[in-house]
Amino acid sequence: MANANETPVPDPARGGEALERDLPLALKGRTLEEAGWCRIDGLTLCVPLWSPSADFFLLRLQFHCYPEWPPSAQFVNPITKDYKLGDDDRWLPNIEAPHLRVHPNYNDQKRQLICNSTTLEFYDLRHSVEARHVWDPERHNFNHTLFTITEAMRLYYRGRQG
Amino acid sequence: MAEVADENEVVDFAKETRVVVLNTKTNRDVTFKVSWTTTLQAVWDASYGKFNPAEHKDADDKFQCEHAGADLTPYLGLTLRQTKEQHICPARKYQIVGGTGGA
Repeated sequence: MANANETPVPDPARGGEALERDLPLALKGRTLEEAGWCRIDGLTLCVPLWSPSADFFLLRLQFHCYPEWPPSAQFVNPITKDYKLGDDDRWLPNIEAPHLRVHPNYNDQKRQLICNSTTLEFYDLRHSVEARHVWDPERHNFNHTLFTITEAMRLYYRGRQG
Repeated sequence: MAEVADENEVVDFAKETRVVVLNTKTNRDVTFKVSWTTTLQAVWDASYGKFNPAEHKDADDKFQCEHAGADLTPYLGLTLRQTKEQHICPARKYQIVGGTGGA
C-alpha cells in the first residue's frame, strides 16, 4: 500500500508487468485501437478525453511506480505527448471538482499536478491525504485513476486553461 | 452506452433476477442472482464479497446506476421489484464508485 509520507520508487519491470495484467480489464474486450488509446512504450498509455462540450484533451498515464503507487497522470500536448509549462497550458482542462483540480504549476514547482489521490504526482509532491483515500494496490488499479478523472471532467469541466 | 431496459419484459417476481455490479476502482464486475424482494442496499452490500477477499466498503463509496452514473442513494431502501415498477435503473446494472481526495 502506498504511504503518503514516502517518496515513490520506480520499478519499471514491475510496472510493465502490472500494466500488461490490468490493461485487458480496462479495455473490456476492446483493442487499443478500438478504444482510441495509444501505447507509446511499455510503460506509457495515452487516452483521449473529451469534455461535455467536445473539447479534446490527451491524458498520458505512465507506470514506472505502478502498481504499488498509482500511475503518473498528466494532460499533454497531443502533438508532443508532453507538457511544457507556459507553452502547453491550453491543453489542460479547467476542472473545478471538490476532489480534483488541474494545476499547471503546483506550488511554483514547475510541475503539472492533477490534484487527486489516484495520481502518482499527488504523492510525489507530498500533498496531504486522508488515510481512507490512500492508493491501495490490493484494491485499486489504473482504472480508478481513469474513471476518477473522466467523471470529474464530465461533471465539473469549466473550459480550457491558458 | 444507453441502458437497455425491456419494458415488455415478462417478470415472475417469485423467481430471482440477475444483477450486475461494476467496481470502478478496478473495472471488474460481478453478476449474481437475487430475489426481487432484495433491497438495493442489500445488493450493494452483497457485491463486495464477490470481487476479491481484500475488497470492502469504504465510508465514502457510492452506489450508482451504471447508466449515466445516476446516484441511487435515495432509493437504497427499495426492493428490486419496487425499482422496476418505478423505472429506476431498469437494466439492473449498477456501479460502485470510490471516494478520492485532493483539489
